[in-house]
Amino acid sequence: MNEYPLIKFTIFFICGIILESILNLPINIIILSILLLFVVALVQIIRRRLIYGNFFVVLLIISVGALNYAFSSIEKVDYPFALPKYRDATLYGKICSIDLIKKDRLNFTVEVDSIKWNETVSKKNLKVNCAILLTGSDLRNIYDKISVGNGVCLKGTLMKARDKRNPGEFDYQEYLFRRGISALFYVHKSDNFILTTEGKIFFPDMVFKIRRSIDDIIFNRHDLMTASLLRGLLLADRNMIDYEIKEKFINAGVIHILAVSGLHVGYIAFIFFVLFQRFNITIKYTLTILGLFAYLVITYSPPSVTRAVAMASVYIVARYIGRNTSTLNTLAIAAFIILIFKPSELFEPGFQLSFAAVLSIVVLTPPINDAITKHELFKKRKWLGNLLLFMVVSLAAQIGTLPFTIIYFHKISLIALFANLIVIPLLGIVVSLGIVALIFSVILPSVGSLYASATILFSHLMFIVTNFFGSIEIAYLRINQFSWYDLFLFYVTMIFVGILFHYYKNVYFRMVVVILSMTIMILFIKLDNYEYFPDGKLSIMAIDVGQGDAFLIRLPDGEYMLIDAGSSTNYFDNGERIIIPLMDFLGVDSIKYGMISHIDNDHYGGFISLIKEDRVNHIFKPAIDSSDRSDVKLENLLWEKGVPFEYYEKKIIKLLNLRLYILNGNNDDIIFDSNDRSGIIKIVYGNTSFIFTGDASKKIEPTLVNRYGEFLHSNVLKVAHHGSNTSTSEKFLEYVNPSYAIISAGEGNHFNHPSQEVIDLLTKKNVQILRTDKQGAILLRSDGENIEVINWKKLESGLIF
Amino acid sequence: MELINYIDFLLPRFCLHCNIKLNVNEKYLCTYCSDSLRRTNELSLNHLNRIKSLCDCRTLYLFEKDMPIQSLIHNLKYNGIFRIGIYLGRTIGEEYKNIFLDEWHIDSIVPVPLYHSKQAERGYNQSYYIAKGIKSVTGINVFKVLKRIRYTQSQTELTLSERILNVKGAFKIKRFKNVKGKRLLLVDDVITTGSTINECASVLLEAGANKVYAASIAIAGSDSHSIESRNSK
Repeated sequence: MNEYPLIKFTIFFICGIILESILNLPINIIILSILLLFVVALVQIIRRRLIYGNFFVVLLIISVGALNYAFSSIEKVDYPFALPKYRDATLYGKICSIDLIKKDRLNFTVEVDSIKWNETVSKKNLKVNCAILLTGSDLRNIYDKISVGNGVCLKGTLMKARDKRNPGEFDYQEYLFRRGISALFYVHKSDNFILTTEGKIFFPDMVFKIRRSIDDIIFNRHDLMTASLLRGLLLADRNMIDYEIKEKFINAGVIHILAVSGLHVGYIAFIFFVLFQRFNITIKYTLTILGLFAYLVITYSPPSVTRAVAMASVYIVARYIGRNTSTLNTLAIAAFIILIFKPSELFEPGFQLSFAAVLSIVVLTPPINDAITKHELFKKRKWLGNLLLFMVVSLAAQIGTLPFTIIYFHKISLIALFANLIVIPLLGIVVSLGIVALIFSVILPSVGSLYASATILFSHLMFIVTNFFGSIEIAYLRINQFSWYDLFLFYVTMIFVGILFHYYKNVYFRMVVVILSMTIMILFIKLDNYEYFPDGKLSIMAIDVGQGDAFLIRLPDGEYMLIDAGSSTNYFDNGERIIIPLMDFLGVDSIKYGMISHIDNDHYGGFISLIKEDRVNHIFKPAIDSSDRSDVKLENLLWEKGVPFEYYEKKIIKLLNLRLYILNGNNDDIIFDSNDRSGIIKIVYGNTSFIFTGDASKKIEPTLVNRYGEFLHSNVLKVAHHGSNTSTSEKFLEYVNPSYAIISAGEGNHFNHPSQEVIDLLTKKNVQILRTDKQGAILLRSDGENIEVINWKKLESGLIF
Repeated sequence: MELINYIDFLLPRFCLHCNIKLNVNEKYLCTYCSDSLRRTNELSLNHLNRIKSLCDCRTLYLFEKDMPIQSLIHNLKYNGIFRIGIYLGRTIGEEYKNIFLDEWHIDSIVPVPLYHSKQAERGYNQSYYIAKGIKSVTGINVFKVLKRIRYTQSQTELTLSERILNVKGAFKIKRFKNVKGKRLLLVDDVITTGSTINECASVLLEAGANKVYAASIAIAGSDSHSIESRNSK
C-alpha cells in the first residue's frame, strides 16, 4: 500500500469530505486555509527548511477534499413552498428523465418552469419527481408517447416528500434533496397529463428509449416475478420487486445480489472481449471500455455500477499502457474519480456498501486463503478447501459491510454464508442466461424464448431458496440503534486487530486479542444507545401514520398496548410499512392490548396486517355493526386467526399500579354514527392521566360530561377526530382540563384537520398542543408524578453528529 | 519529464523482475536488474552459423533462466505488456541502426507471425511490436508478409530435431510483391536453436528474397547440444 501514493491520497481526500460534512465550514474559509498552507510552506521553502513536509501535504489534501464537498453542497435544494400539500396545482415544465413503468405508476422528473395553484404562480427553478397514478392501457399510452425533453403540463397534487416521521425511519425527503429533487407531484387522471411541446433532448432520450425497449423485451419474454428480478439485475431498477420479497432477501443476507455490481459488469466485459476477440488490441480495449460505459449509461449509473465500470476501465487502461496494478489501487482510483465529480456519493448507501464489500474482500481474503490452503486438513480434502475458499469471499464481504447493513437494514443475517453459497451461483446463471436470452430475443426470437424459459426456471429456484432461508425464524438478528459512531468504532477495532495479527503470530495471544477487543467494542457500541421505553415508566408514542390515529403505549409492567393503527389502502398499508417496522425497531414482539377505537379505515386499517402477522394477542372493539361490511370482515379475520376479542364495556382493568378505564359500552343509547361509537379510554398512572377519545363527536360529549363529570379530568387529551371542529366542545374541554393535547393528523390532509377553531380553543385554555402533522411521532413519558415530552429526533441523531 | 510520467501517481510502475518501485527514468526494470542483463558476444551467436539461409544475425541479450531477461520476455509474451516489445525494438534499433541501414541495406522488416488462434488468445503478436520499435528508430517499413498456416506446438519442450520438424512447412508468403528481390530483416523475440528463423528465412528465399537477416531481443543457450541434453533428461 505504501507504494501506491493514490491510496493514501484518496483516504485523506475522503477524510476532508467527511470533516466538511460535519463542520460545514464556508467555502472562503477553506480557500483561505489552503492559501495559508501554501504561504507557510512557501516561507519554509524560501528559508530552505521544510519541516513537517508530509504534514502540509496531508492537510492540503484534506482541505481540497473539504473544498470539493463544499462546492458540491452549494447546489443542495430544499422544499420552497409554505404548505406541505397543494391540491389542484398545475405544473409546467420539461421532462428531464423517465423511469421504467411500474404496475400502477409512471415516475419521471420534471424541470419546472412554473407552478400554479389558486391564483398564485410560482416561477422557481427546481426539479420535481412526478408520478402518474394510473393502471392498464391509459398508463401504457402515456409511457409510449413521452420522450425526454418533452414539455408537459400536469394537473394534480404538489407535495413535499416524506421526511423522517417515526423512530428508525428512512428519510426519503433528504434522499431526494441529495439528488436535487425538491418536491413530489401526483397526477391521478390521464386527462391531467398534457404534452405541450414535442422537443427532445437527443442523448438522454436515446438512453431512455433503449432502456424501455430492453425492458419491454424482458417483460414480454418472462413472467412478472422473473421480469421484475431481471429488470433489477440488468437495468438496475428494482422498484418492481415486491416489498416482501426484498425483506426475504434482507433476512437471508443476499440483498446485495439485487444491486448490479462487479459480477454483471464482469459478464458484460467478458462478452465484449469475446465479441472483439479478433480485433487488434487497441480496438478491442477501446470497444470494451466503450461497451462498459454504454452499459453504465443505460443503467442510469447507480454507484455500484459506476464503481465496477471505473475499476474495469482502470484495469484495462493499465494493461494497455503496460502497467500492473493492484486491486486496492484500482479501487482507490475508482473512488477518487467518483468523489471528484460527486463528493456527495460518499453518503449514498450504494456507494458505501459497494466499496466496503470490495475493500474487505481485497484485504481479508488473501490471509484467510493462505491459512486454508496451508492447513493439513484441506490438503487431503480438496473439495472442502475449495468450498471454504468460496465461502471466505462471501464472509469477507459480509464482515466489511456489516456496520452498513446494520445501519440501513437494522438486521444481521445469521445464515447469510450458507444462503450466499447457493444463491450466488444461481445468480450467476440467471444473469448470464438473462443476457443471452436478451441478445437472442433481438436476433433470433425463437431461441430467445427457450433461453427465457431457462431463466425463469433458475430465477424461480433462486426465489424458492431465498424464501426458504429468509423465512427461517432465527435467520436474522435485529440490531437497532447502531449509530455512525458505532460504525466508526467497528472499523477502528477491525484495523487494530488486523495490525496486532500482522505482528503477533501466537494463536493464544490472537484469541485473547479478539475476545478482548470484541468485548470492548460491544461495550462502547452500547454506550450511546438510548432506551425509548425505559422500564417502570409509562411511555406513550403517537405514531405518525399520516391522516389517522395510532398510539403505541408501553405500560409500566412491560406490556404493550396499541390504540388504533392508522389506515391501509392499496398504495400504502400503515400496518405493514410503518407500525410493524417501528415495533421491530423498538424491539416490540407483540401487542397485548389492541384497541380499535372504531371501524374507520384510518383507525383500524393497519390492524389487519398486525393480525395477519400474529402481532396482536387481544383485541378490544366496539360492538359489531352487521350493516358495516368492513366490520364483519374484520371479525371474520379475528375468528379465522383465533385472536380473542371483546366489545367495549364500561369497566376497569387493573394492571399493577395502573388503571385502564373504558368509559362507554354497547348498552348505551343506540348510536348510528360509527364515530360516536368510538371507545373512550382513560389511563391513570399514579398522579398522571391520559384520555383517548377516538373520533367521538360533540353529540356524545355531553353524555360523557353528565356521566363522569370531574372524572374526565386528564393531563393529556388525545383530541377527538384529528382536531376536527365537530368534536371538542368548550364544555368538554373544561371538564378534561388537560395540560397537553395530542392531535394526530396527516400533513396537508384534505379534511383540513385540525380545525383552526379547535386550535384557538386549546390555545385559549393554555393547553400545550402536540401535532403529528407538524413534528412527526410524539413521545410522552410519565413516571407517575410528572409527564415529560421527549424529543426523540435529537436523541436519535446520536452523540457525535 | 513527459506528461505520461504523471500517470505514475495513479498507476505506479514496478520492476518486472524484483518488484521494487521504479523511478521516472527507469523502464520495466530497475537500474540494478537492467545492469545485470548480459549482452551477447561473438561466441554466443556461433551456433547460428550453421543456418545457411540466414546471412547474418544480431541479438541484444543472452537469455538466462530466472534472470531479469526472462521476466521481460515472459511479461511481453504472456502478461499482455506489449509495450515492452516496442521499447526493446527501439533499443535494438538504436544499437544496430548503422548495421541495418549501411551494412545490410535492409528494405523491410518482417516479424515472425503467430498462428491466428494463438494471436487471438494473446491479443497481439509480440514480434510485430518489436518490429514496430525498430521501425520507429530506423525508419524501415514493417511488412507482415509471412503467415503461419499450421498450429505448432510450443518449442520450449522440444529437442533440436523435433523443433526443425515441428516448424517444417508452417509458414506461407502472403504478399510476394514485398518479398521479391528485397533485403529483409526477420524479427523474433527469442532465438534458441534458430529452427523457426531458419524455416521463415528459407520460405522467404524461395519466394525470391534477395537476402535475409535476423534480429531478436535475446538468444538462448550458447550451443544447441546443451539444450538437447537438458531436454532429454
